[in-house]
Amino acid sequence: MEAFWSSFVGLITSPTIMLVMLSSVTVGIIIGALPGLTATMSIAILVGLTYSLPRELCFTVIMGVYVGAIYGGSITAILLNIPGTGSAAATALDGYPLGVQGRASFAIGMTRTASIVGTLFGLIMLLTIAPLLAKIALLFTSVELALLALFGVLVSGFVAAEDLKIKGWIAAFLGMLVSCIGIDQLHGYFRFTYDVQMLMAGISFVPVMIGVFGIPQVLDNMKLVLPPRIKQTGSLLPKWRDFSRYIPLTLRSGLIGTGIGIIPGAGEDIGAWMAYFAAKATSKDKEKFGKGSTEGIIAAETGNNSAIGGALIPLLTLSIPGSPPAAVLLGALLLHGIRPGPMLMFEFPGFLQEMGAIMFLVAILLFVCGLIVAKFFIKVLDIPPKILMPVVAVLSVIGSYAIHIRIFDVRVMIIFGIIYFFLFKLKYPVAPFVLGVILGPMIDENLRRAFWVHGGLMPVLTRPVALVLFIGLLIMVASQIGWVRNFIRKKVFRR
Amino acid sequence: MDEKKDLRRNDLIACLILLVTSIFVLGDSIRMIFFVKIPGVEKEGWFVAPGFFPLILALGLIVMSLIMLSIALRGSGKIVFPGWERIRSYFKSRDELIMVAEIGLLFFYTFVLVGNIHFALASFIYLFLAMSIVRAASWYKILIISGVVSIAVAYLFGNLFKIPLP
Repeated sequence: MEAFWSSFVGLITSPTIMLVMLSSVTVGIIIGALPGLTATMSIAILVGLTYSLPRELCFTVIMGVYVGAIYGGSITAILLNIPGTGSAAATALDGYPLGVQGRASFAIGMTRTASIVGTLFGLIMLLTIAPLLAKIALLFTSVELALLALFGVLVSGFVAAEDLKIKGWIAAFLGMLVSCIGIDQLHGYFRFTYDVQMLMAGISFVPVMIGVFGIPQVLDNMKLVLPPRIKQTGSLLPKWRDFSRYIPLTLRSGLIGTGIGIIPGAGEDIGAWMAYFAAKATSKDKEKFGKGSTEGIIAAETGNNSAIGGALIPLLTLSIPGSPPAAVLLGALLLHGIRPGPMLMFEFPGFLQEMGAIMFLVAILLFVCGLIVAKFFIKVLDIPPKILMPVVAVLSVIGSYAIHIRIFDVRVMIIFGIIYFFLFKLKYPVAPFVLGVILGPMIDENLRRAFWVHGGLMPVLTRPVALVLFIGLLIMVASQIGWVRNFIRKKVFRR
Repeated sequence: MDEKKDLRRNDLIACLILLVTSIFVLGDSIRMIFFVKIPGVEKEGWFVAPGFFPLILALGLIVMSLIMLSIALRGSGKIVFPGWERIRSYFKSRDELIMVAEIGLLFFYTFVLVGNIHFALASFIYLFLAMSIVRAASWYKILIISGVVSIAVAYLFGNLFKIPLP
């Protein structure tokens, strides 16, 4: 703890570091808010740009952009229904309806507070029980990762469906099927490519995500007569009594986000979704979810920001990155001669605490910088939708192109956007579809790898964590089959 | 009640499309199934083949679309495919016509304009047409807004953020 405070004092008394930190967090929020510019991409660029800087300054810039970008995605998710980053997709589900109700300022204020609390929660976990948590994370091998991801996708289908639960699962299956297009990572086999060269590289989830969230919105708002726009009221500074009601939810979401962040490869996106679905499943106001639930946005934002601290735990203690941005951060650490792993505490005493102090200050600055950036962004909602929506379409084109610099991605974005415009009318939820596209490759690769290693399904299920997850999956599916439900009700509960 | 019946009728068409697609995917997945020698196992296994996961997904989708089919049939009362009259009445609504025009315009923008002419010019044409269709403002205001926005966006992303533009 002493090392943490001495690093903290060292950082706060350096005007250069504080100024750099302020700028990095602001830039991070702007990057996160712009569709198509991800935290991973910006950190990757920064690793090269900050190479010549002193170690302390370099990680100040990287961590500032990392935390800022994960939060920034929620701003456009709330204002335009286009998540700036993948991790803000869950926030859009309730954030945008809040914006439509004239409560965008309130939603942005709440998500900012939730992001700060989430970041601090992850940080506390990182500083206190990092080695223990990292050991638990190592229990997750291919099969557990596959089952956990499958569990997440199916839960999302189960929870997000507004009309019939089966529509959520159909959306999830369709999402996973889309993720199968392209080269198979295990055998190098081309699946569903039909000799189309562009399909061989697969379908990236970013254009799909931008399309299914953004394009239905654009088309829905392009009508001759639109209902009058509701005036935005409320402050960007949330009242303490408004937020304090959600502290238990915040802590629970923080725990879920950190837990997911620790699992190698899971990351902030899954952290947000899992926290969101857990909040919906346990909420007293389930019917409000998807229509502007405060609980929904708080859970999602706490979940994704706490996953940052979680992702750093296996990175610093085992040299295994917990998320894609953490993987790029590993590169930065190695470039600066820092080898993360069990020996980090001995080889670089005080480094973990230094990272903790940077994260702590970044979380505090997120409050100030978020407020400044949001003040400018909120003006967007004063623009009439008939003018704003075509501009959103143009931004969606840039966002989908920027990831891989391929015109093909722009077309993918439009095609999926229009398909989902019709599916949306039929009440097929968007969340399970997006989650299916994101997690599909993880399920496919890990499941087959596990079969390869263990020689079949049965040996795989001898692993306790895998068995628990498998039983959980079976129960969830069975609970949705009418005759199984009736049978259990008659035979078990009447006895 | 009618809204629910309409939804189920539309569900019926959607799940029939889904069923056909799933059967097609199933066929393709079976083609991708081949047996692989797995270390430590006597027999060769098919469950590590590239077709395994899509096969499971296709089977799941077939089962679910059949369930949806039965729900839709029960909910809609009878199979009603949209006839000419229904399609014609649909396109009589101005909002529906605008929606079709906007979809067409999005395709025109992304498949014809983007990548073939300068991004700022492509965006200007799209913005001008998209706003004109819905009469977002008077024509000269639309002209100014489209011009300013397309140039600003191209400059901001292309020059300032150094993001390659299509």
